[in-house]
Amino acid sequence: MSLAIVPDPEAMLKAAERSGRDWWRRLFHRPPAVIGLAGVAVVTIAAIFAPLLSPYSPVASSFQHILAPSFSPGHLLGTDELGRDVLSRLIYGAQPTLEVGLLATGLALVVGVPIGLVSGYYRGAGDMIVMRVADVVLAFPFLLLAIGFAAIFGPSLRNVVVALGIGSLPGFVRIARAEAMALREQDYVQAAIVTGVRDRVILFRHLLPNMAGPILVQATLTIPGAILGSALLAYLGLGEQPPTASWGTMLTAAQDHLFNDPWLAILPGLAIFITTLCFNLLGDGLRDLFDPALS
Amino acid sequence: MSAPIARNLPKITSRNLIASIAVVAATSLLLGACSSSTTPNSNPSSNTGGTLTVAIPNAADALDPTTDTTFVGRIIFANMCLGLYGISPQQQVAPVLATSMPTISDGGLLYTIRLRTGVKFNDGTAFNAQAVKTSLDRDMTLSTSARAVELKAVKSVTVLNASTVQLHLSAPYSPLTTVLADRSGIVMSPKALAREGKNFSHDPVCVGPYAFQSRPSLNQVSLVASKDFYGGKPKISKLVFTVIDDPSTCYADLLSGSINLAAPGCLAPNDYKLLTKNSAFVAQNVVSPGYAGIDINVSNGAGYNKPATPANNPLATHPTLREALALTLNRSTINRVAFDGVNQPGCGPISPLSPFYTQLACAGPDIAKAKRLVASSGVPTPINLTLMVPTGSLNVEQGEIISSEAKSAGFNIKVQPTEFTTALTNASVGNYQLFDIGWSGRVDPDQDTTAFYTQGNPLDYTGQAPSSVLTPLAQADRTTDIAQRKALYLQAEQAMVQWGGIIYLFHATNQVAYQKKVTGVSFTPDGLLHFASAAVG
Amino acid sequence: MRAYVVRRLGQSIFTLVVASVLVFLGVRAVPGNPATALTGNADLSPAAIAAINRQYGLNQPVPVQYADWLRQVLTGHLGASPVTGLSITAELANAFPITIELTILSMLIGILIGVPSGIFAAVRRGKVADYVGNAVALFGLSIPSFWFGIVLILIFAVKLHVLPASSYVSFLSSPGSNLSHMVMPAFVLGTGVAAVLMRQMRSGMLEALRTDYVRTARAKGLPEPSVVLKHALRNSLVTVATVIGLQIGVLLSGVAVTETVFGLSGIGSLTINAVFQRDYPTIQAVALITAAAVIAINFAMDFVYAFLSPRVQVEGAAQ
Repeated sequence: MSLAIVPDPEAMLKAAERSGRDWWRRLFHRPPAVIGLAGVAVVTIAAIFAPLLSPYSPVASSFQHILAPSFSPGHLLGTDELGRDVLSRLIYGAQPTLEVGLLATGLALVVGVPIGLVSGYYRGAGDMIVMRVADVVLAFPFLLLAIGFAAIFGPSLRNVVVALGIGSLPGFVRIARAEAMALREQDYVQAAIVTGVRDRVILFRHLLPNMAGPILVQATLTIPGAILGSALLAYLGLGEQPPTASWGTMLTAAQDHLFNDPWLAILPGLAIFITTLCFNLLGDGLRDLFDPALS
Repeated sequence: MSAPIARNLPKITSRNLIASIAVVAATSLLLGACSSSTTPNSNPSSNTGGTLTVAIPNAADALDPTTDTTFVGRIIFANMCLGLYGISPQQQVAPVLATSMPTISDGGLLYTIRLRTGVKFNDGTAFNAQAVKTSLDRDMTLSTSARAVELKAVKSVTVLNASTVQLHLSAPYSPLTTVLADRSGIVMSPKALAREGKNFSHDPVCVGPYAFQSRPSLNQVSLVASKDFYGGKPKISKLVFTVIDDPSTCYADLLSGSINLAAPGCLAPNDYKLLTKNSAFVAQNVVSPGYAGIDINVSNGAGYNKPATPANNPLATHPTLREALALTLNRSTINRVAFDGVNQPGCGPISPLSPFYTQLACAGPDIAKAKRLVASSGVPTPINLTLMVPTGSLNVEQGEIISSEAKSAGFNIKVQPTEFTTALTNASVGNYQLFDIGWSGRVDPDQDTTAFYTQGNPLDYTGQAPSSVLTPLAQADRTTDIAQRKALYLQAEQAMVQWGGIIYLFHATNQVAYQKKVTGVSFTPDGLLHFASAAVG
Repeated sequence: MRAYVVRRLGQSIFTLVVASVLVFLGVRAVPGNPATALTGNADLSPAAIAAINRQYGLNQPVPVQYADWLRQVLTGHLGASPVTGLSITAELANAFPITIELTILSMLIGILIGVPSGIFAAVRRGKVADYVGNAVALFGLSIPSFWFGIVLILIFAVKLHVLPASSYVSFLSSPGSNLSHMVMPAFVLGTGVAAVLMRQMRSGMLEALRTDYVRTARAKGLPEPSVVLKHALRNSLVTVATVIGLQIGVLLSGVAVTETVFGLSGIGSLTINAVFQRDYPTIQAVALITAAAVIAINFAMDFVYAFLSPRVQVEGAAQ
């Protein structure tokens, strides 16, 4: 008898999910977000289809044509100090950039979200330990972590990904934890607990999908930080090594020619800037969707 | 029921407000007070004579003549720690704290050196033969001494009288005078040594136009004009060496006036070229005694302090491959592309400045022959190698050009940027295959050659060279006849090229640029800068 | 209040201890033997290694070594750098003022730009000023700081000769020169801080302006500027405290690179140089100091935040 008055958790969930589906449509109504999306798409296409899109190999040097200016014949954006085509290197440079951005964020997400989820749901001693560990991680600026890894394990793309991933972990842990704590108090979750639904089901079928939005926002806002961080580390020589074309290493080499060919330094920096900006725009757009009160 | 967001609204009363501002202010004041109490109380520089700020490309080691191994360390010592001898602008050894060249007797086993009188150290104590003996003994016996190797021919040092010192050798060694023109000849104040001992670098005192004032950080050394200097107090009252390791910042600072002078190695070659066209600056490019080249790990497989062991790379076991690699390299291309043409292509260690120099005909590039040699060696291509280069864009560029050129004969060379001191350590212990390195060069050819080919010497990265190289070098060591030495060095160089343990690419050059208002700077061919007679404006 | 402070202090100390253990173990994790790491000398004879092991107590059990190291750190005996021979404490003492000045100036610039523009954007929400403000904030968030620094050097130091490109003059010896050297680096870092602050201020203000309290105030006829100002003040302090706490790690990373680009020998460039030179004793010292600074600043900010918002203590650990 009493069961009849308790709302059906499954039905409530389905209703909540349905309204979430038209967020894609709503995104398109905001110009900045569309610009952001377009930019991200361009960079992604460049990274994936680099061999098809770039006119030359990024490592093909030509010692007869070094430091050619923009609009030289055959080289739209000129050549660098070893005669390599700048446009091709910019296109290929999208690869390590996106790779680090996505892998580091992915690592932080895949590790951080479950931890935050479980921690926020159960609270208690485990939660306290998780928060303290997060504090410790936050105590080390990501640069310190990255150079620490480079010092111990040698410089490489993989170490950069791990260092940035660890640095971005606390962000995901906190979001997942906060969401878990808030969602736990929702009526349908309480109902599910009371009716004896297993914890694992609640966590992964009820809570996790409903925090997808904020987590997605966190991810799209973590990626630009990871991109900037990886560019910084590449600039310092701690990431991918030459002759790999990456925007960060292009900047390092370009610094020696700052005064006779400033565009060599301006272009890769611009690429980093625009990519980061587009991810930020996209992330902002997504965040506005999930919390319109802030727009 | 208030909306959830109202939860976080702080309940401000004026009391809370004042309290929190006070906390923030107190914290920053505390931080500020802590920092200002540890700020070094730098002496206000007197305005007579002004300050000369010199940019150097990397930080010096500890400022101790016995242990220093950096080129920039030598520049700083040239102004605050003079030695028995020095190098004149004509690339000759000339007496500085000594009054004349040493009297060599007893078949080359006894060196008698007369010292200048009336000279004081920068702490006011008297310079005499006992002080010279103390410094030389320290150079020979201190466990961390980098001078012990070049002084190993010296058995003992004795004081004849207050102004004469004698060096007793165990075997004749003609480069000794030149050695005494480098850091081994620097005389340190015994009073400072007694006070600081091993930590002489914390407050180094010697004889020099400038005295050490402070080293607030790794990257900054401040010297002040010395009133005790026998040559008269310099016009410039303060000499500051500041590290700028980024070449474009060095150039920008020179243009904007933050620095007065860019020391060798600070500027990038292409920026140097721009300065040659800028009438507000003096820009000089001179050939130096140094060289740049590639070390190949032939028999330094186990480290310099172990017996010669073949290294783990195909070039160690196949001499023809070494020749093939050398034939793929186009020196003028590397010079043009990476160095804007400022270097001078060469294929031996002895510099054109030296009286012992004979121009060698450099082989290559000859790709066809290189390919033939690779094919005949029987080693399958691609031949994978790693080239260790010190970090720095120019080094990396050079490495990539080399890699690209070597590819045409089937070498697959991976460039491995490594931090400089780590690279040196790796090379010493034999942990490398190819190493792109240079040597700043010395006046006497022996110091540019023997140490680099003799197993057991920490500078020998390539391994034990054959007797065809070492025998003429040893013979040249023992004779002082110039024509004879020249012929022997030519023989040795030809043998070096034949053996191929080091591929010499360039004779190094030094570029210096400074504001026109700076005068009296003495820039000697060894790349050192002397400011004793300099003035600003 | 007191209970909260004590609890947060306890947590901070705990975090600091764990951080110190990590720093200590990190150096021991370096490949090769610790004697090499501590002296920077790769070619040591077995006798030399044994001597160094005795000198640094490397043969003792690890917890004992840790305790010894901790004791040395707390008494200020950080040892000497194997690379330069200089006392690490002295090097840190000289690098500190530079980094602190740069950090404080950057935060000041960030606050001076970010707070008013955030308030302004919230008040003028939806209008042109809001979009412009947002755009500028996005710019500050997206620009790579080292590239920004290079571009500024190109423009102001080289083309216009208005500012020096690098190095440092102490504030005490010449305030004017000191500030002219610090302007560009502080501006580069400050824009990043300003961007985050601006956006947080804006959203905080929007929330606050929507509350019943404000609606009542407006209904009562209180002048709009004073309503806005009171809330602005309230929100600024809270937001600034929160943002500083969250951003300090990012800011210190930015400081390190900015010091490198502009040739300032602060803690950041000291760290970078130490890593490249494998100067492990110095790396240990700066890692510990940096972690301690971050933890201390976070604690200070929590303290400020709690002062301003007593409810936060009751609700336990904040988000």
